[in-house]
Amino acid sequence: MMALAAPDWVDKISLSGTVSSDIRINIERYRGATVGEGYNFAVNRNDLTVHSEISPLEQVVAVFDARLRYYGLNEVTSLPQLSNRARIDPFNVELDQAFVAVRGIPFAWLDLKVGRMVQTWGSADLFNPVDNLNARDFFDPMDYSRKVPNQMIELTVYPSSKVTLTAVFVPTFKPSQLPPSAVLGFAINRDRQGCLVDAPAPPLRDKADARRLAETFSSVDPCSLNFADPEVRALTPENGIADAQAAIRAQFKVGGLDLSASYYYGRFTFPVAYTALAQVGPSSTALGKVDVAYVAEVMYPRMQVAGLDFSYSAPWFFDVGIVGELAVIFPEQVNFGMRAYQGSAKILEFSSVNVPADPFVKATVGLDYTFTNWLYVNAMFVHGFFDEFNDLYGLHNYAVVAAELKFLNDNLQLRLSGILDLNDQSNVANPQLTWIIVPGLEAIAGLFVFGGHTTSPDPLDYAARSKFGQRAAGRSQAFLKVRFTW
Amino acid sequence: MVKAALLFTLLGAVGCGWKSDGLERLEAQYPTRILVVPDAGNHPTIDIGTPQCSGFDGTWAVRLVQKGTIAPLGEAWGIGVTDLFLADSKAQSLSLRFCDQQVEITTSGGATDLGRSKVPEALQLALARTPVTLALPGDGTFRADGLVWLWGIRSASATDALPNKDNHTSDARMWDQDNDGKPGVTLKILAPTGDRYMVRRAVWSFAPGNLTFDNQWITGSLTSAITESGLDATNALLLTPAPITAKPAGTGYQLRCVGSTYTCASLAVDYPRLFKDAPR
Repeated sequence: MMALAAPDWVDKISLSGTVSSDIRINIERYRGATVGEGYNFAVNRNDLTVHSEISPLEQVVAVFDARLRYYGLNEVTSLPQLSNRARIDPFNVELDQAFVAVRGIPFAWLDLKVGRMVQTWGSADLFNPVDNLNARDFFDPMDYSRKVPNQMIELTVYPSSKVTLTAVFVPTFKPSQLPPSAVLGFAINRDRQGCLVDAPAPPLRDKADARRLAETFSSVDPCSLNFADPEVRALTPENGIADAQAAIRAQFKVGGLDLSASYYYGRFTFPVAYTALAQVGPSSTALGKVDVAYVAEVMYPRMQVAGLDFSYSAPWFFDVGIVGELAVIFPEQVNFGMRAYQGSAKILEFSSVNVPADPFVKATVGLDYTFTNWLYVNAMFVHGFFDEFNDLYGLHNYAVVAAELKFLNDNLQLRLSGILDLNDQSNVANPQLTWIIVPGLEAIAGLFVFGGHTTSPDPLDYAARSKFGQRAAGRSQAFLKVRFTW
Repeated sequence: MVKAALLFTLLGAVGCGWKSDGLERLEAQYPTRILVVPDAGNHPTIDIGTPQCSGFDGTWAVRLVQKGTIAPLGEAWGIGVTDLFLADSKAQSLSLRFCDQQVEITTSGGATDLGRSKVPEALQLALARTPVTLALPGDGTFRADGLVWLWGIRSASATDALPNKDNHTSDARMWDQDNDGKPGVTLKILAPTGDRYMVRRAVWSFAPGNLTFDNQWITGSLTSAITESGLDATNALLLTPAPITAKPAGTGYQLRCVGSTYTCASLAVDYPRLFKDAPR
């Protein structure tokens, strides 16, 4: 009996992926949209990811990365929605990568890659100020590594064995995806009777303006104000050629040193406060009350970034890994404008420089070292978080530490990681225990805990809010994940 | 190092000039109205000095708009009486110092000068010498009931009968307030041209007003009852009775905070623009 041979094309396809389940529970009651709401399931996800590479020729590869996600929490609020499976069991499909790469055609020293992809530039672990081509995906606050894929054209040239030149063109802009808690950054705080306590401070650089704004509303009985949560509009760039992005990078290998110099032209992918408009008038629904409607706009400022990054493993110093990144950012100046109207009468008007035109620096410096086969430590100093753009909030400094301990033939791994904001001492702690049940199957249990003040010590000061303490940063959670990799 | 410095300088030069201005965007979305009032005189800007009002305390330009109808010839005509004051307010009491009165009369055929009055300077000065006191209740609200303002008569309640052309010579309450030798006060009439000697009473009730958040405006509804009694005139036609029937619609009061240096003369000229942005 002849053995059946696999078709030739089977060798040209590689397929891998994961199946995972992620359950999380909120472990506090003071960081949610409503104080007192907590100790409930926040996440109940199941993901199927597929990574496929198809290489019909040695020089050509097509890559496909997709994810099917079921959210596991129903979104039904009305009877008609009970007939809609998508509301009962919401899901979505994401295409993280879909591109074709051609190597060495028409020239041996030239590679071309076109399609939907995720770029990662820089040498440091996660905190890469020189990595600006893709927007960040912070939908899951526990995962700083995800990015929003985008369509790009990448050209790579190899003039020598020690030099690589890369140019990337990104036709259209995509903003970063924010966590669901981000709206709490604009939320109005009310007491149990529904009376106004405070509102988010706008970025007014002159403290006298902030006081004048506060006095305007503080002269009124807070219980008489119907102050709705602001409507926040995001002004994204047009899809014109002028709004396209581009970047170039030169990578060098000098002995044990990997060095890169880069330049990026495009936009900051996190929103920056731009305008605010308050409309005040007698309530049409509640006698004696005053309606306050508040509309804010955020925008995505242009920037150029000149970057340098390196990684080096020091044989003369116990093979400690050293990484560093420096980005000099030349930003677009953003002036924040605010008006308040009572009827048709303008009662307040402010203008304040939110982002100055002065160049500023974001940087990361880090060390990592494997002490033993069961202990690894990574420590970084970060100047300027992902979403900081030298606006009135400023650039904070952070210490990022992660330690990994392995036990039982590496089948049990304890990872202790955390971030400390050195400016306001707010922090995030993320201890987790991973059990590798069998090769390819792991269970992870842990905590993700935010520390810091949830309310600003100075309600008039835009820069006073705590980086990780504010409720917009997210909820403290306990989690259990199970993942199978194939 | 030099090359790096040159590179950064070049980048800075290339990036120079990028700017997004939020206030310009708001102005584009909500243009500030440019006020053009041809009859406001040749005053391109209004200088109200340095307003410094706190709560109800401060200096206020006051406009009382009173709408009504008259029927001197049988047909109902619209009449609008605008009284302008400067008020100094302290300790729950406003002292309203008269500045000017503007009267508009509208017939079915349009605006007319027939019956329109004008306050001569002597009367303006005389009325300004006896300010009207508006006492606030002291409970944090701006309101007042039954405020009586008299011309040419020293005392009268809101309902007392006023002296008339037959009995004014024997009425002890009579007062040549503008000191021109004529009984009561003298009001100029534009058509038919002449002087009317009269007494007048306005009774006002200020409904609870709204103080804006920026402490610049107090506005509210006004109830007004105006009673005039002609005593004599240079032209008998000017003694034709024309009682004013008040109309609530459009009758109201507006106070705008002004600096202590603001004058009646400026108010008399500025008032159309000064009150144009009053909250409704």
